[in-house]
Amino acid sequence: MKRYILSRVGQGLATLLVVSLFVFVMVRMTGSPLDMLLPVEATPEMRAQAAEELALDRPVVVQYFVFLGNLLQGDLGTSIRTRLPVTELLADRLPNTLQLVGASIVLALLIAVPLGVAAALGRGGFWDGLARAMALLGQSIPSFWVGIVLIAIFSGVLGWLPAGRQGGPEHLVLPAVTLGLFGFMLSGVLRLLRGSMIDVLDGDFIRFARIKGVPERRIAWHHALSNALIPVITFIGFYFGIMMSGTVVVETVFAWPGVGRLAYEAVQWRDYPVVQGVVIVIALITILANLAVDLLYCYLDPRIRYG
Amino acid sequence: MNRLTAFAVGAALLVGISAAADARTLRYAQSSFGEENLDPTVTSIVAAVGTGGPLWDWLTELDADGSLRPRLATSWQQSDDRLSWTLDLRDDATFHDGSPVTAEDVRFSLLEGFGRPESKASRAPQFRKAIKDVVAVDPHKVRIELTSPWPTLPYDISTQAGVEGIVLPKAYIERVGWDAFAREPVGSGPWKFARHQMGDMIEYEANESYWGGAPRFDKLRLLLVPEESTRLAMLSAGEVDIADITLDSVPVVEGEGMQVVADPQRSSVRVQLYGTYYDEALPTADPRVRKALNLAINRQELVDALFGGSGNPAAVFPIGPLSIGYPADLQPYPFDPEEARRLLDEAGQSGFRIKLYSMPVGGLQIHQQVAEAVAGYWEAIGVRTEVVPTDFGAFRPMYMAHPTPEALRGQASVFATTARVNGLDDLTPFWVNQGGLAKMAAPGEIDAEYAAANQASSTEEIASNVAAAYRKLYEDYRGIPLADVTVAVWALGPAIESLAVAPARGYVAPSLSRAVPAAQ
Repeated sequence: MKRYILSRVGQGLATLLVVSLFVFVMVRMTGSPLDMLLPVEATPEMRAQAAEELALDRPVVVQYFVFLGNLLQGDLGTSIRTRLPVTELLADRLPNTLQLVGASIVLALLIAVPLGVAAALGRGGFWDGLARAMALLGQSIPSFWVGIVLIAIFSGVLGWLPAGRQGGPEHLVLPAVTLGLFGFMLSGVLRLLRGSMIDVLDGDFIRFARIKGVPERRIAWHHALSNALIPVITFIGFYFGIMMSGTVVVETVFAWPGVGRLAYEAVQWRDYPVVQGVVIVIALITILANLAVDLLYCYLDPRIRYG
Repeated sequence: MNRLTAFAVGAALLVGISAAADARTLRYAQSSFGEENLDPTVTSIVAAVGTGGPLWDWLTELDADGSLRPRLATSWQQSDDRLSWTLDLRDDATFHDGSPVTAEDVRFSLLEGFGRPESKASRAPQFRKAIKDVVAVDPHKVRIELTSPWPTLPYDISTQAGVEGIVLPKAYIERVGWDAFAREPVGSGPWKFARHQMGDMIEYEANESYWGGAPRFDKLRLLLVPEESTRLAMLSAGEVDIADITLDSVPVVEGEGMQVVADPQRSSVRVQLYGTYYDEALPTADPRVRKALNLAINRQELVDALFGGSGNPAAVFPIGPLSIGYPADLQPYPFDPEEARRLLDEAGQSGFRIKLYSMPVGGLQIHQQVAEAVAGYWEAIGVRTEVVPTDFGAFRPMYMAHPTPEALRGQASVFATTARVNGLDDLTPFWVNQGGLAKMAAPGEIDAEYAAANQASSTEEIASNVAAAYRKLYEDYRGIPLADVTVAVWALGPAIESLAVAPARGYVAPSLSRAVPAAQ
């Protein structure tokens, strides 16, 4: 087990190294931050001065190794746009995004788990039809459109909920519904759980439980669900990182001050250190989430052991 | 009363109290905070004026009709040799930390603030070059010594011109440093800095001791809401009192019975033609072709269809009707597609190809619609137009290169900027061939007028030379002026009775102290 964890940590670090190089190169292909920072009338002298201030006049290879050296010390650099440390910006915004993503996942699971089980138990019936319809809608309607429509209805017309920004729990409702129900999480969990439950319900141990006279409700919710959840947990772990990076649109529509919008602003301004910092932190969170899921397997399925 | 009822009444009272406490807060939903750094010397105008504007006081200001008015400077006199300006300062102005605004602060702001090498202010190089020294004659009198006559200086330190007229607190900045100043800025304007939540909100408090009278709201909260539909919903729901909107939304907002206010200084929307003088083989090198491209466009139709009629067809660009040197006698080119086709035939350029770049610049959100409309007019006279969507960051290297790269020669782009009060300032970056950026005038074409305007010793002399330069460009069809339009507009919620917007480069923030609350 220890060897397995060590090997996964090693793989994670290698992945982070590749990600750091990839994002470093890619963000520089979008153009120079000087074009955004300086006025249209900026003279060549102003550009040279700004490039020197931001250390953009050094060779790119040198810039990368400086960035890597600082990264190893936990220093993600200073934002070109705001002139604040990237770690400070991330520390401000990350809790907001985790709150939004967490609420979205909980909301999606609260709907997807019972509905997925009901759909598997009553194949072809009402709940199955509803589950398939919800999965289809969740997958096919773009979240930015849903967000705007929800704002128009629940804030503009009905006045029940705030249109945007962070605040009390009521501020979380519309963005969490948008991200959780229309950001693939609900549809992914629904489809996976339904399929997985159908497979498990056909298993020998379920037949044996039925012969033993275990009540159908207990078979479904205890024996079948705990086994059917394993691929779902993998999906959630895998999809967590995608949701983190997918918050860009939802956070922009709902004026939610999270990492997604920080990334959006950073890309707009070609704020290299912030783009790099956001991508590396999201990559790290994704790696950790996947590691956590792998470890959770041992607990959920005693048959799984890592040698 | 049972417990539930008591709780409900208590909650209602609390909500009522909190609503009452919040009633004097002016909430403004903004599309961007720019760099979110409140040091105006190192940021773009979006941050310096658009979000930091409430904090600052300028030396002079421009009124809605374009007239220059005193602000921190009560009067100004040019020396007989025209090589210095002496400004008298108010003696009742103080910074938010209680210290008085003095001549030393003006000196510090011009030389060590906006004049320092790190300054990103758009006219920092011009100020560095033109200002020889700034002398504090006494605490409330300052003399700005120049390397050459600068007749329009009082206009160039106004709210409309940019940031260089802002007076910064010397003692405070020297004590805490520039970084701390950016986080906890101290100004001398009608609002004081209270707090800043990055990416979310900036809050100001009314400066009760402001010499011009305290704002009529107790607090001002700027909220960052990038999505326009969200800003509109927040305005409808009463979550904000003022919001940035685009022209598209004006009918919707007015349909809901809300007021719309605009920046009195209009934006110049045009099509710029690049490098028309490099190669005679370029179709746009021929003045008949440039004239044809101009005659093909129905400017009034464009203003009505795309800008809701809130503007006028333009004869020149980017100078505006409130600018010094605006040639008011020039009429927009007529709409004459028949003549345009004939001119193209005569020039042997029927069916030539042109690229029309389109990008969001100068607050023009509907650049793509403008580009498509222009392309439609040109296609109608047989010019094969390829609209190329891009962004200014990607376009800029090509735009700024000298000489103009071959790829851009003979091509065009939709462009917009808010006209500056000094017509000479806009001639420099867009038209002048030597040292300019867009370099749209042919070499030598307006050099004499430009040099004369630069060496002029009076505002009238500048005006006549600037106007003469524009007349030449007009007669030579060097560019394609489209319209002077209102681009910067804001919607007001029911909490505001009125708001008189003064020209400030398309930003409302410096005018928010003038907001009059509706009667409760």
